[in-house]
Amino acid sequence: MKYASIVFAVIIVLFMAIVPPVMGGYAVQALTSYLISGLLALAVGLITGYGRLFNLGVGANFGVSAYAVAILTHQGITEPFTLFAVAIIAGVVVSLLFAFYALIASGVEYLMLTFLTTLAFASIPHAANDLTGGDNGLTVNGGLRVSFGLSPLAGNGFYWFVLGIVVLCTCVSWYVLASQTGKAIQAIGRNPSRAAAMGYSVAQYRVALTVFSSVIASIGGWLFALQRSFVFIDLLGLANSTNGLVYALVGGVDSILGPLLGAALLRALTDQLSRGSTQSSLYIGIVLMLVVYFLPDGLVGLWRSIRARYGLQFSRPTPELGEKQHGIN
Amino acid sequence: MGSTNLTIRARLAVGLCGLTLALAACSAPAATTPAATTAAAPPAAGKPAATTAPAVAAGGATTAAPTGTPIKVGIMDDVTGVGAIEGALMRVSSELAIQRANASGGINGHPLQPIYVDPKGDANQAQQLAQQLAQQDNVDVLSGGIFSPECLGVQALAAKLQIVYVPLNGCASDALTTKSCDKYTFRVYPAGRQTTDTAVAYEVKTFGPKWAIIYPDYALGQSDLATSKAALAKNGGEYVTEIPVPLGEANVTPYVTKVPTDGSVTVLNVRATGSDLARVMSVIQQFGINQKVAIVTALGKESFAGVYPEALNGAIITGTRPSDGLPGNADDQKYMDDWLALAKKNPDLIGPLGGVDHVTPGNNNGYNAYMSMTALVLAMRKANFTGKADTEKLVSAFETLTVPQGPDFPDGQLIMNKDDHQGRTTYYLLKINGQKEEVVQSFPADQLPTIGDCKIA
Repeated sequence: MKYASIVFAVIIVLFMAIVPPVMGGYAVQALTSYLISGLLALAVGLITGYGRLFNLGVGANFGVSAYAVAILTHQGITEPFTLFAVAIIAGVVVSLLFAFYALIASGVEYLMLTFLTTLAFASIPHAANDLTGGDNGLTVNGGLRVSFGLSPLAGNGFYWFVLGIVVLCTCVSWYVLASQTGKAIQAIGRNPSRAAAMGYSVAQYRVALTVFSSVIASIGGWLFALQRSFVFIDLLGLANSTNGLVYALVGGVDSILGPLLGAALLRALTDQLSRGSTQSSLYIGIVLMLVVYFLPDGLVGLWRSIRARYGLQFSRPTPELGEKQHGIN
Repeated sequence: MGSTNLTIRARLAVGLCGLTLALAACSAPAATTPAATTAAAPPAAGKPAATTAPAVAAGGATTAAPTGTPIKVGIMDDVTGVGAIEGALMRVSSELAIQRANASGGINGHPLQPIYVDPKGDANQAQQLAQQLAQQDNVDVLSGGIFSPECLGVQALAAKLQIVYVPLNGCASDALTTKSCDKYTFRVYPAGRQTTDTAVAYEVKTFGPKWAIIYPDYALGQSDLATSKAALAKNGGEYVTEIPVPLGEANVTPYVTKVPTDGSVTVLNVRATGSDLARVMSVIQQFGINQKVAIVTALGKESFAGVYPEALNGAIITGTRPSDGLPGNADDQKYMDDWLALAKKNPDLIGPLGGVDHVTPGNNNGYNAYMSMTALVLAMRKANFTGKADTEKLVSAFETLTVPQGPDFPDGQLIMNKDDHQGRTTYYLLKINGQKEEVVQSFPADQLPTIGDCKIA
């Protein structure tokens, strides 16, 4: 069964690697963008879906990493590995703040702390206009050098690069969640008191999960800066975090593939409706309400219900790609 | 049972989502292509205006409809969200300019085909849609965007794609044509110190040197503070009181009431924009501050749904044209008539502008969008532009474009600056008298300063 899941995943990756470049045109560039948004959603899914920590600050990790890249290039640093390292370090530093919140608060209190911190992060560019460009945003200098010579606007190289990183992040996330540590994290998410009684260090696992999801979000922020060559204040604000949350909810917050799927579908829908209607916000809002009400487990939940109904069984229900995690309960 | 319920829910969800998307598909489209019809039609929200047959064309006499390969112009127009006022002005004005262009032969026989998208003021969405326009729709030129992050983001993208980008209105950040200036971006209308330096000398002389300023505490407001402070210093004035208002602050009363009314300042410079401006003016009126100090500001009638509040009676504003046009100027009257005719046939779009009873192209953003699109048309004609392959020719033609006052530019001359691709146009100092604006002073384009020292390589 496990083998079937792996084959399915490999087929998806091969399809993603081959078909869009063969189709050519804008599809490759659009998918690159959706994959990057998928990393933000995956980070949200990990901390919210598995850890049950309602962190509204994951977008800040994403934004801080993106800003770190832009700021460094304005200081003349364009060496791509240095940019990557600093972006991740910046994200992890921010995550330590959220990890601290995870130690001292839970539930609504934790949510409010992350919410208020995110609002504070959104004010930083105003307070440091010269460094961040303030409300105007900041370009990423350095041309193609910052993206290892790969052009985000032409050819397939950057797309394959992003796809590879997303696949890597997905595999690592799957590996972590399938491990004993991952099972402990899920157990703590579902019932921290019970997990603590069983001897698990709740604080330690929460810190680890916060930092891990932050690294995923930071990788997304780094890639975003490379792709767009421009960062702006909204990346640090609440909107970016809630976007990630909505992507994850639509796809299925307690799965690994769900957030990636949700990001791709919702981004594509938003792009198309922004071109197709002057009332696109209204229609997107209605779709989201319907999904949240009728598909509380997201698209992956829908797939699970179809599979259960028709007896399709490709894999065991424990930690597979796109599979609901039961773990220790 | 649970599984069955979920399945029913799922079916309902899919069905309702489908219905919603079908509704969306059937609603007014944002992305459009012009119909090659022969009758003039209004620019419905999200629908293109018919591109032929207005009575008077921008370039002169009406000619046969262009039949060549269309030249596509991607327009990022925020008709929803916080930029709805500027977005509505952009839509009507750009449609008018395109109508006029196509009615006068298009671009040397090629019709202009606008494709509208709505980024809703979201910089991320603006960049994504701009890329889609360039790489999927294969537009030949990008234009639009209202907020500085949108415009600067699209500017960065346009430079990489090597495609000409023309902001139509808004996009007021100095950075666009100063530290970010680049080969492919052209801003036609005045910005930054071009708009402050011209007015301050008169205002200091008339109202006195002791000023207060109330401004939004973000990049644009801070930039306004810096440029106006420098202009004041040059003219022997100073800010006695500076009042920054945090971004998005709904309760502006504590800030507005900081304005001294004891005679220590005689002028209040109001730099708020959009709905913030309406809120600030409301509080100024409520506390009678306008009775104690003179008010100077930038945005005109279009920012107040077509009706000036009483507090602005006697205030000095600036702009590229008077909201009601230049008295005795037949070209301007024709522009105004055509503009209003287009706008009033589309009441949904012009709701934020005061509806059919009060809509006006205003003194800045409406006319700026018209000028910008018209300048693009003239540059394309000059370059013999047939598509993106002629971008280099278009850049060369645009950066040296000068247009005299006339049917195309009824309110004054345009001079483009080759060094930074920033335009200069005639600029007006206007005094509000009830609902009218009196021209106090006009500054020909060649008297406006350059905006910075950016040099395009």
